[in-house]
Amino acid sequence: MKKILWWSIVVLIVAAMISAFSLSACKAAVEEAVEEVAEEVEEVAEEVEEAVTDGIFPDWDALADEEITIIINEWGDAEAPGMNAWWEETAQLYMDMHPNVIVEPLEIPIEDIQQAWMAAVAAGDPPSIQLMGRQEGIDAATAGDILPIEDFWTEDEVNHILPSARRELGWGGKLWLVPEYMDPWHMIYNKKIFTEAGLDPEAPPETWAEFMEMGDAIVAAGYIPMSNGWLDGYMSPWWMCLVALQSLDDPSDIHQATLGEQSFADPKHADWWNILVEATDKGFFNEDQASLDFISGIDLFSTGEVAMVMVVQPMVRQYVDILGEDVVGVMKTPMPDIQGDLAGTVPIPAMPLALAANADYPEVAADVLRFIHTADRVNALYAHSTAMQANDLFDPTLVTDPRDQLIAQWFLEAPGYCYNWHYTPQIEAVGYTLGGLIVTGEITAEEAGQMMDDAAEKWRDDNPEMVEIFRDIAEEWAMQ
Amino acid sequence: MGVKINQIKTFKRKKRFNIEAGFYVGPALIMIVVVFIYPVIEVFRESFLDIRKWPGTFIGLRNYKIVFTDRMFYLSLLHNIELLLIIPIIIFIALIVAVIMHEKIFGEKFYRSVIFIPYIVPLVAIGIAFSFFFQFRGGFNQILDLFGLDFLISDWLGNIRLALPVVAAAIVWRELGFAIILFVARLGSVSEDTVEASLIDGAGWWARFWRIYIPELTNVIEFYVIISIITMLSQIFGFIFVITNGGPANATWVSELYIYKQAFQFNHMGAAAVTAVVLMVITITLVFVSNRLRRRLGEGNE
Repeated sequence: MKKILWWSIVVLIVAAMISAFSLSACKAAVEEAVEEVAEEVEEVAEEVEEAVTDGIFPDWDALADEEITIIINEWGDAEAPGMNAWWEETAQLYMDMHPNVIVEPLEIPIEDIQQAWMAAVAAGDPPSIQLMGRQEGIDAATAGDILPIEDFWTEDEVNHILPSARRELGWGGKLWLVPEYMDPWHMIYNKKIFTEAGLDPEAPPETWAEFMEMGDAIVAAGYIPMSNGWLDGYMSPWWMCLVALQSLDDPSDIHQATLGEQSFADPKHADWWNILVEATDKGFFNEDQASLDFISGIDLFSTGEVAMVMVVQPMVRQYVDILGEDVVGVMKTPMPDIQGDLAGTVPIPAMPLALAANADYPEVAADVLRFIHTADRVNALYAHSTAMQANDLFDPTLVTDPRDQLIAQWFLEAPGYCYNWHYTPQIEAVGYTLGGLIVTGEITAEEAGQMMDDAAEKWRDDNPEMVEIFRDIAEEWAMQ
Repeated sequence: MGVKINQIKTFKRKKRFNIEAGFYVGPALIMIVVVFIYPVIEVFRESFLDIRKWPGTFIGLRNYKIVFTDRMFYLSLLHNIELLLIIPIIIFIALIVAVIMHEKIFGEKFYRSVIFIPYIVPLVAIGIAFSFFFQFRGGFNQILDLFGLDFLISDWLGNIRLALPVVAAAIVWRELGFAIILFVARLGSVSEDTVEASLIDGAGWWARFWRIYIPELTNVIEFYVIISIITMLSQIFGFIFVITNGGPANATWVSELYIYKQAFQFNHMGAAAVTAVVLMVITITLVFVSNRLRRRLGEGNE
C-alpha cells in the first residue's frame, strides 16, 4: 500500500512537472502565435488602407479566363434623349478594352425601375449597377444591398465628383452613389409668346409675384401662362424641388420636418402652395392639368400655346428643335414670397447609380463606373445627350449652346439640392396628391402642409428603426 | 380463411388502384399546391415579417397595425366596394342583350363576335384608349360638343368625383361581352316548347324575360356574380394603373394598387402581404355569403 501511494505521488509530481513545462511551452507558443497574428493583422490593415486610398481595381490577370457580365439598370432616354446612344458607345469601348467582359445597359421605364431592382434583389439576382434615388439608396444600404463606391475608387476619383453631388450621394462619411448624369432643374419660356403679350422676351419673371402680373397679359394674348400635369402625381415633387426648396435655408429644414422637429405646415414649408391656388383661380394654368400626367402636361409647351413650363436641362434641346432656336429661352424658377438661403439656387440632382452588393464581380462593376467618369466619357455624355456630368473633368468649352452655358453658369454659382431626396417615400406618396388636390380646390395650402405632417408622423410611428438611421444621416448632413 | 384471403386481395386491389389514381392526380395536385396553396401560405407568413432585408425578421402584428391605421387602406377598400356596385349594371345590360340575341335578331352571329371582342383586347390597350378618350381634350368631350351638349363637358379624369366612374365604364365595356356570351350560351338550352307555349298564351317580351329566361339563367347569374366579385376586388389593377395610376389625388386607389405601392414604392413587403391577406379574407367571405344567400333563396323557392 505504501509503495502504491509512493509511486502515485511520484507519478503525480512528474505529471505536474510535465504539464507545467508543456503549459509554459504552449504559453510561449501561444504568445508567439498571437504576436505573429498581430503582425499579420497589421500588415493586412496597412494593405487595406493602401487599397482604399489607391482604390480597388479588378485583377485582370486573375479574371482573364472568367466570363463577366455587368448588367446596368437605367432609364435610357427618359429624361435625356441621347443617353441610350452614349451607353451603347460606352459599353462597347469598355468591352473593347476587356474582351471577357460584357457590359449590358438595360433600359427600364421610370415607373418600373425601382420595382425591377427590388424583385431582382429578392430573387438573389440583382443587376451589377442600378439607377436609384438617394432615399432608395439609403434604404438599400441599410439592407446591405449596395456597396459604397468610395470603397473602390481612389480619393482622387471621388474628389472629381462635384461637391454638391458628393454631399447628396454620400452618407456615413462615404460616397455611396455615382452620378449617371446631372439634372439641372429649371424652367423654359416661349419668347414669341412673351413678345406677342407685350412682355420683354429677355426678361422672364424672377418671382411668382411677377409671374402673376405677367399672367393676365399672356392670357389676353390667347395663350396659357404655364402648363402642368397632376394626374400621376409626379408634378408635385417637381414643384417642391423647384419652388418649395427656395423658401428654405438648407435641406436640414426638410430633415427636421420629417423628424417632427419642424412642421410642414409652417409658412416657410407651406406658404408656397398658395401659388398654385392663386394661379389656378386666375386661369393661368391649362384647364386639363388635373387629368394629364406630368410629361403630357410639360409637353404642352411643344404645341406653342404655353408660355412657361418646368423642365430638366437635358429636355431643352427637343423643344428647341420643335419650336426654334430663337423661341425657347431658359429661366430660373421664380422665387416664392418667403425666401430662404436657397432662394435663387438651381437644383442639380445627379441621377445616382448604385453598386449592388450581391452581384458578381463588384470590383469590375465599380471599374465600369470609374470608366464612365473618365474625361472622355464625361465629355461624350454631353455630345450625345446635352446632359452634363457632375464631374469637374467636364470641359465647359464644349458647351456652345447659349442656353446650356447660362444653366452651367447658374449651377456653378448657386448649386441647389433636390427636395425630394431629403424626405421619405411615404411622405412623398402624400406629396404626390397635394398639387392635384389644391388645383381642384379640395384642400388649402395649410391643409397640404398638415397632410405632410401627418404622413411624417405615421412614417415615424411605423418605422422606428429607420427614424434613427434617418436622424444619424440628418445630423451628419447638418455638420457638413 | 378463404374470406380473409378474399378481403386481403380486395384491399390490395383497392390499394393498387388508389396509388394508381394518385399518379394521375399527383402532377395536377403538385401544381395546385405550388401555384395556389404555397403562395397563400407564404404571403400569410410574410405578413408577420419585416422584409426590408431579405429574408426578414418576425415582428408579430406590427404590419397589421400599420395597415389598419392607414387611411389609404380604407380608402382603397371603399373604392373596391364602390366598384362592386357596377356588377348589377353589367348583369342587367348583359341579360337584356343576351335575350334579344337569343330571340334571333338579324346578324346575330356577327353581333356575337363583335360583342366578345372587348373581352379579348389587351387590358392595357383598353386603358390607354379610355384615358385618351376621357381627357379634357379627348374624344368624349368633342362628341358632347358636336351634339350641343357642351354644358356636360368636364375634366373627367381630373375630377376626383368622376375619375372612378370613368374607370368603371372601362370595366363595364370590357366585362359586358363575357357576360353576354355566357348568358347566350345558357339560353341555348332553354326549352323552345316552353317559349312557344308562352307565346301562345300571349306572354309579351318582358313577361318572357322575367318569367322564363331569368329563372333559367339563375345558376349562371349566380356564377357570374361570384366571378365579378373576385374581379372587382382583385383583378382591376391594370385598369387603374394605366388609366389613372390612382389619381387624381388618390381618387382611384384600389386595394391592388395599395399592395403595389406598399411593396414597390415604400419597400414595405409586410404591409403589402397584410393587405393581400385581408383582400383574400374579404373575397372568400363575400363568395361564401353569396353562396349561402343562393342556397337560402333556392330553399325558399322550393
